[in-house]
Amino acid sequence: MEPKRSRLPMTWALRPVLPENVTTDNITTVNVFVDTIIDRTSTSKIVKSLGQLSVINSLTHLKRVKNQTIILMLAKDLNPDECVAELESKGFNFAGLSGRPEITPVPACMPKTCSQNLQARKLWPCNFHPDKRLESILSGDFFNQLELATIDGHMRMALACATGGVGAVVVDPLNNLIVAQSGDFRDEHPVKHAIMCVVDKVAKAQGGGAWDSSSTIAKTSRINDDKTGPYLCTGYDVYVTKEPCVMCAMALVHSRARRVFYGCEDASGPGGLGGSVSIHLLKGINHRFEVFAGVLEEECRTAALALHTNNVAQNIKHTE
Amino acid sequence: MDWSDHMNMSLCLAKEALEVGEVPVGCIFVDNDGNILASGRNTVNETKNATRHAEINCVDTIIKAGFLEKLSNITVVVTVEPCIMCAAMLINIGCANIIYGCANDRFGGCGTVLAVPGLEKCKVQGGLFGNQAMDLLKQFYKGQNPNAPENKVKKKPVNP
Ligand SMILES: [Zn+2]
Ligand SMILES: [Zn+2]
Repeated sequence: MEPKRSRLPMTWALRPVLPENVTTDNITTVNVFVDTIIDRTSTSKIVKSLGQLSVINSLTHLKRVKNQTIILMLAKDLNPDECVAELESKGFNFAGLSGRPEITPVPACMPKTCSQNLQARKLWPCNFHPDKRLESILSGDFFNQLELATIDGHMRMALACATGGVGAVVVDPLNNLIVAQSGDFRDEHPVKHAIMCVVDKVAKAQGGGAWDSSSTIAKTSRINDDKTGPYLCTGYDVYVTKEPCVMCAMALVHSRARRVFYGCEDASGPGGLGGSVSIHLLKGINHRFEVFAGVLEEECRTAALALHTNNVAQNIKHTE
Repeated sequence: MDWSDHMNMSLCLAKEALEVGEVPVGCIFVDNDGNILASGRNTVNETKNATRHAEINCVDTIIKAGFLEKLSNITVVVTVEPCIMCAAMLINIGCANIIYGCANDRFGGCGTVLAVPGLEKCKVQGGLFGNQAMDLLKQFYKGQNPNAPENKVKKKPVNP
C-alpha cells in the first residue's frame, strides 16, 4: 500500500520515505507441498509430527494449517512422489492425509504491514503482528494537526533563510527552538551545502565548529543538567527545503539527526533520501532516522527555482 | 604512477590524528602535475562536527588558499576508503582518482557499503598500505572514541 499522505487544511501533503519492501503490496512467494487432511481428529497429531520431522526454518511466519490443508515441506524441485518418499524416509506417517501432496505458493516472508498481510493471507495465513508505529505512519495519522502545523512552521523558517535556492534549520523537538539555520553557499565552496552549514553551526553552538559563521541564532537550546552536554545533532530534527544530496544525507547519519523533513525533490542531482539512493535505509549503517518529504513542496520548489532564475538574470546581464 | 610516498604522508597524518584522539585517517590532494594541494586528517572531536573528515578538511584548505578552480581532476590519496559522504563530495568536485589504503567497512562509499552515484566517473584503487591504515584504526577502536557519551548515543528517540 502506498503510504497515505497526511493532509492539512493546507496545501502540502507529508510523504514518509520508506523502504520499498514496506510500501509494496507485492508478496514474494515460495512453493511448498501441501496435503489435505482427511481425518480431522488426527490434525494435531499430524501437526506435531511434521513439527518434529519437517521443520521449515524459513517459513516460521506461516501457520502450518489452512482450513483442511497442511504444509508438508518446501517444494524445492521435487515431484509429489519424491515428496512422499522423502517424508516417509524421515519416519513421517501419512495416515489421516490424502497422501497426494500438491504444490502451492505461500508468502515467502513475514508481511511488514497490515496491507501486505491482507495480500499474504489470500495465499496462506501468517503469524502477523502489526507494527503500530509503522501503521500510523502509513495511514497518515502519525502526526496530528498541531504537529503538522509545527512542521509547517519550521519549514517556513528554512524557506526564510534560503539562499542559493536552499535553506535548512535544525530544531530541538523538545522545545521547538531553532538550534541552527543556514542558506546554501555551494557556489563559493563545494562543501557548503545548507545541511553541511547547519551541522557546523550546531557544532559551533556546542563549542566547536570549523567554519566562520556570523550566526546569532546558534545557541544550545537545551539546558543540560548532565555533564556530557548535547552530542552532535542527537535528538534534533532537520528541516531542509530541498532533498539532501548523498553527501548531506550521510552527513546527517554521521551527525545522528533524529528525523529529517524536506520539501521538494532535487531535480538537478542525485538525491540521497529517496531520490537516487536512500541513505537512511542502507543496511549496515550505525544510525537511522526517519525521513518525511513533501513539506511545503510547492514553496520549496519555487525557492529552488528562484536560484536558477537569478542565475539566468545574471547571465543575461553578463552577455549584454 | 607510484603513490607510495603520498600514502606514507597520509599515514603520517593518520598517526597524528590517532595521537590526539581522532579517528586515524589522513589524506593528500594532488593536482594533475603532481603538486600537493592540501593535506588533512580527521578533526571530528576537535570541532564537535562529525563531518570534519580528512577529505573535507583538504577541500577547506584548498578553498581558503583560493584554488577553487583546481579542485577538479585531482587525485586523492587517503588511508581509508572515503565514507559515503566524502565519496559523494569527491565525485561532486570532479575528482579523477581515488587511491586508498584499507576498506571502510562501516561507511565506505567506494563500493564497500555503497558505490555512490557517479563513482564510475572516477578511477578508484584500494589496498595501498592497507594493513598499516587498518592497524591504526584498530588501535583507535581499542581505545574507543572518548567524545561519544554512551548515555547520549544510546538514548531512544522521543516521539514528536
Ligand atoms: Zn548536499
Ligand atoms: Zn568521510
